[in-house]
Amino acid sequence: MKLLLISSALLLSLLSWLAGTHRYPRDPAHTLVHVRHGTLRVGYTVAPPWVVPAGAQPQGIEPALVRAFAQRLGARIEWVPGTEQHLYEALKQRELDLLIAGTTDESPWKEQVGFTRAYVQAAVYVGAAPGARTAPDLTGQRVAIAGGTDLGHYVRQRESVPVVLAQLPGGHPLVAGYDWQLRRWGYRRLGKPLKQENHVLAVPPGENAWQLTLETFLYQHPAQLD
Amino acid sequence: MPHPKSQQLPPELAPTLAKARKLEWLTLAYQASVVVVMYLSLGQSQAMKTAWADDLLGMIAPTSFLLAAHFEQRGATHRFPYGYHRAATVGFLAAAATLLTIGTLLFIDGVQKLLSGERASIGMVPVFGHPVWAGYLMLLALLWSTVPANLLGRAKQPVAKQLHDKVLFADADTNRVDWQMGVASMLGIVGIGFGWWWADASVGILLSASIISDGYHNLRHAVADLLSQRPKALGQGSDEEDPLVQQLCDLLTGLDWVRAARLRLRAEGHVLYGEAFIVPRTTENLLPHLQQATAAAHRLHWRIRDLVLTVVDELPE
Repeated sequence: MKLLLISSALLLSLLSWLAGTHRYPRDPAHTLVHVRHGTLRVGYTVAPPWVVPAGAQPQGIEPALVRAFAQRLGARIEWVPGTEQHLYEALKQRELDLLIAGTTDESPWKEQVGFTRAYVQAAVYVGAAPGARTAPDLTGQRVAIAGGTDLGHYVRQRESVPVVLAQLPGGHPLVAGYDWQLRRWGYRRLGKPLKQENHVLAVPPGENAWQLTLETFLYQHPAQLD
Repeated sequence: MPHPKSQQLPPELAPTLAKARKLEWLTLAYQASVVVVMYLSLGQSQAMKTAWADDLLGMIAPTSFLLAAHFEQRGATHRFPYGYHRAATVGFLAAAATLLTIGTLLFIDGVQKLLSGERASIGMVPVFGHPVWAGYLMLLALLWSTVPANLLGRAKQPVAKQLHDKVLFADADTNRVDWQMGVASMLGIVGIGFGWWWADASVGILLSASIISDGYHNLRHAVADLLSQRPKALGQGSDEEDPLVQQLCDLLTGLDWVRAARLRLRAEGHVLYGEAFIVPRTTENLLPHLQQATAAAHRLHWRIRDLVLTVVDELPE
């Protein structure tokens, strides 16, 4: 018993010392070592406002995080566009170091690759345009949403009618958006959120030093949402 | 008439039983805390998942003991004239089934993970605002699941011997030696940190093998009990006969009116039931002789509960 406690204490001390010199934990495939002062291969797919296309290099919340992170590591970024399926497969096989796609912790890929802790918790609300008169409940009202999302389902859950608009807010009196988006448009938040999302970034599975470094960075550098 | 049946333990053992119950309640409370702590630090690790399942299953034994102790206190009823002494056997059987099933599932799971090269991602958790590798928390959780268990096991073992309680003894033994599994899990997590991703599934496989082995031992106990095997001495995997059997035999053959005697006993929980076949030298004073012999046999040890003496002209095989 005493032997167990003493050896555990010694082991923990050894590990803490190794950790202090950044030699513990380690990556089985040495990702962190390759990326530092090297190349960071980032797979991305369009997912506004998280990842937004803009010429050769993506913009948006997640690319901004990646750029800041890469700068910290002294790495140059290689942006790799693709579809989510292909990118996740590549990430799993360590052909990519990082994947940004507006992924949330609900994604079914979480068992296959490493997901970071949520770096932001975003909630979608229904917002009212300034000066718009709104009944206390939204039954039967039309709410504008962006296409290609499941917000129509959540809007219908509130007994409202979803309307897909190409450009939000498009002057519509009622619009669904993240709270910072509503603020930017000058819209007033109404009631409880339609939907809550925990956003994560994805890394290859088992590359623990890499994941720890990224998560520490995300923890200490909150995302720029506006 | 045979010695009046009292289905409770002798009064001098009442405090021991009370102590045993207290220790097992304490064990349950502790194990519940371990299950919670382990669940919170699980992550994706196969080793942790298997260790957590092992801890969950570890709650079966104390529960078994407490339930069996409760039922045994009831004594014989009209419906159950032999009392509830075999309540513990039911516990062993239920434990065996659960352990074998879950152990096997986890074994297959571990092998699958190892063969497919699945790697556990262990990242960061904030601890009081500081970023800490989650693996360290897993190690602490494992330490909590190991050290107190060993101490509890050591406290329970002498109590189990005094009560001659198989369930309590098996439970205490498991607690006492579980530290080996705890150490294996910790080494597994440390190994993952060094980049040896296969350490995770390997430890998971090892732990699940241990669960299967536990299940097998429980099954052996249960089957042996159900098939009314000869009473065995207390001890994990012990194949020695219970020394009380020989003592009883010596007592009976030592009586001057007895030419030869043979016992046929079975263990029901703590106590021994059975028959003694006696070939007498003379049938004079047979009834008082039988009464005295029965009384003496029951006085020998509290564990001799219901011995029926019968006179024969030839000992059975």
